[in-house]
Amino acid sequence: MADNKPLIFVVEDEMMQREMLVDHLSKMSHYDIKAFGTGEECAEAIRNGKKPTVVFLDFYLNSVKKEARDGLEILTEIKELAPETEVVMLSGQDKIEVAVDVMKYGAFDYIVKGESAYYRAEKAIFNIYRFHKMKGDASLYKKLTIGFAIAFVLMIILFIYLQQQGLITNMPGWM
Amino acid sequence: MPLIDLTFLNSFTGGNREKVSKYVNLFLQFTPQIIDTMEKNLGEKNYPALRTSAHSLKPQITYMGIKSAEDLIKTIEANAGDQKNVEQIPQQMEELKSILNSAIPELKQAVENS
Repeated sequence: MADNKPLIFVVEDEMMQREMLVDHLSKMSHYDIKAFGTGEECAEAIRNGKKPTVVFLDFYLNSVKKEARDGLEILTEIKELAPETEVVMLSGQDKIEVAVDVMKYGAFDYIVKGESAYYRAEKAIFNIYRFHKMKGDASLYKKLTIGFAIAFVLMIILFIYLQQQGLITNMPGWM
Repeated sequence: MPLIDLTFLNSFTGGNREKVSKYVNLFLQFTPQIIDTMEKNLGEKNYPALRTSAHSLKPQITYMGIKSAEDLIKTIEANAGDQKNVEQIPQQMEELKSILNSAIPELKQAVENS
């Protein structure tokens, strides 16, 4: 049953922050949540075949392990390894220029840590699913439109051919 | 007047005392280490590292409701990050330690009472 649940990763080096986010997201029982203390561990899991739908990624990942790579580097790597995975960046910095930078690197959203962060994380998941559904719907409509256009052209060609062969004498009025 | 306010944690956990205790104990466990690291960074005048440590402590102070330390940790983070008013940072660190040293027994009491 767990294998069918969408997968969410939480990458946060501060244990309390990590526990709080995991505990909060786990209340939404239709997701499988996996937590990592470093970006390297998260990237390794993706390389090993895990396909998270969403990754919540801390901006500063080197406050505990100084040699750990930072959030922007890991964000870039995640997008290379799994372009369909959406990354939501978490940071204590309430600066628009940081948020803009993060989006340029491919993040879906940017959440400032604090009391409202957990509610915003839930909203981010909802928005990601809605965005992916819209993308899927748009792709389906595009295919249907192309399909109908091809069918229409083929029908016209068929009519012209049949008329030239004398098999039909009257073209439909709308032609 | 109490230094701590666990309103947010109680709301976040839905009043689950076990979870409140878990988070408070994590704070009690890791905060002394973060403070030690900050002091080490300050002693080495490693302001970028000091900023990173202050940055990581900041939301945790908010979750514990230690309001008197919130502005102080933000100031330390900003001063270390911008490397301005650095001569004020030692005094600010002492104030921060004093507040946390007073808040910690209250947090321990809150956990014991739960």
